[in-house]
Order: sequence, then C-alpha cells, then structure tokens
Amino acid sequence: MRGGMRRALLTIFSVMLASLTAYSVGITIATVDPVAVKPGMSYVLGKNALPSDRNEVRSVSLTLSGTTVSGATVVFYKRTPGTYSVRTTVSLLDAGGSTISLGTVCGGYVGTGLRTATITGFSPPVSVDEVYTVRVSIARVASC
Amino acid sequence: MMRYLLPLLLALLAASAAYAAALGLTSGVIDQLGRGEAPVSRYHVRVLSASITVNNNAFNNQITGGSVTVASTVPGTYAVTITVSTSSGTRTYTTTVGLSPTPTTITFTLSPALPYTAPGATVSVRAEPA
Repeated sequence: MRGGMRRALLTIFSVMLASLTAYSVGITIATVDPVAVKPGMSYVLGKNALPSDRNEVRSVSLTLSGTTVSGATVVFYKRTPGTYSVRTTVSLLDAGGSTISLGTVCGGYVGTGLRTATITGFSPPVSVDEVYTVRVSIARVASC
Repeated sequence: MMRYLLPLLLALLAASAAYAAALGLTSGVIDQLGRGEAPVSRYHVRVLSASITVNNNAFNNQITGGSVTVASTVPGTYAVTITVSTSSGTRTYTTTVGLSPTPTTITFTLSPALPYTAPGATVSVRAEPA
C-alpha cells in the first residue's frame, strides 16, 4: 500500500473512532422507568377469636397532613353483642417491621354491626413514605 | 489492498463488540452510560386505605374482594399487584392503572373467596412501572 493510501485509511479510521468515542460519552437515555424507593405497602387487619371478642376489622383509611400521617379511620364489625369498650390501635411499621408510630382510640360500642373508630393523632408524627406496614388491631377492654 | 483493509475492519468490529458489551454490562446503572445524564425518577407508593368485603357477617366468613386507595409520587402507568393473605391461604389480583400523587381507588375481587380467619388478613399492594 502506498503512503498516501495508508494515511487516508488511517484518517478515516481515526474519524470513525472519534465519532464512536464522542457517541459513547454523549449518549443519553431518553426514557427511563422510575426506580422504586418504596414500591408498596401492606395493611394488617385484625380479627379476634376469643369467645368474648369475635370482632374483626373491615377497613382502615389514613388521613394525611401533607405527607405526615395525622389520623386514621377504622371500620370494624362488632360481632360480639353487648355494650362494652373497644380499644382500636393503628401501628405504623417501617421496612424492618419495627413500630415507628402509634395511634389509638378507645370508645364504648353498643349492639352488633359495623362500627367506626376515629384516630385523630399519631405519635410520633411520621411521613407516609416511611411507613411500609399499617397494622390495625381492635380489642375489647374492661374500660377506657 | 485487502490485506490492509481487513485488519482495520476486524479492529473496528472488535471495538464495536466491546462497546456493545460495555453498554450491556452497565445498563443496570444508568449513571454509567456515558456523560449524558438522564433524570431517573424515584417513586414512593402510598397506600392510603385498604378495605375488604366479605360474603356475610358470620364468624366463619370469607373475603370476596375489596378496595385499596393508591398513589405514587411519580405519575405513570403501573402494574399493581394486590395480595390478600390469611392463615387459610393467599390470593393475588393484578391490574394495570395510571397512578399519580392523587390517590386512585382500585377495586378487586378474589376468586375463589378467601376464609377470613383469626388473627386477621394482610392486604399487600405493590406497584411497578408497566
């Protein structure tokens, strides 16, 4: 191969190499799926099997102030008849299963059927983004 | 002429193959894909409520379905998996929905119904980009 031809080939090769290099450092992915920090949450709804307490949770709804959990509404089915006190507790758990916040309310209930317990505060205040599990329990108690 | 071109072409081919392999290796880490940076959104799924429906009010009742209220900090289309489990078993419901920071209610049915046994039921919601 003559020197001129060799120089021309080398020039072409260099240009191609430079283009590839420029492309490799300038590449941008236009669309990327979002990455999960917290991809989900769980709710644990309690059901009691004691002869004197066979009540069960049917639903729970969190109330937010911004992203802070400020309250909860629990609906439970009061199966065991009579008039007695029920303590409703909502525990907020982190990714490791540790309780990071607690809300509770106690009230007297009559008869049977769907009943509502409203929790108006959690201590300490936590962001919903820190909560991985919401555990709801109801328990018949002697008195509030 | 071909004696000189062939090595060059082979070198080019090898370089391209190496480049493709490097892209493949680093594709799991977006930030390493060259200097051009694409913003990677990071989302939190917020499940604001969970509710179950039952077939009757007897103690040995069964969960037939329910609803959850879900939001994501990053708007988009998500594959949502709802898993309901008790000591009697597990049922899974999947759907694809658009989520945003504004909560969306997803109603689900379980087939067959799941006995609602003590000490209770766990409703798990997981959302991943569809």
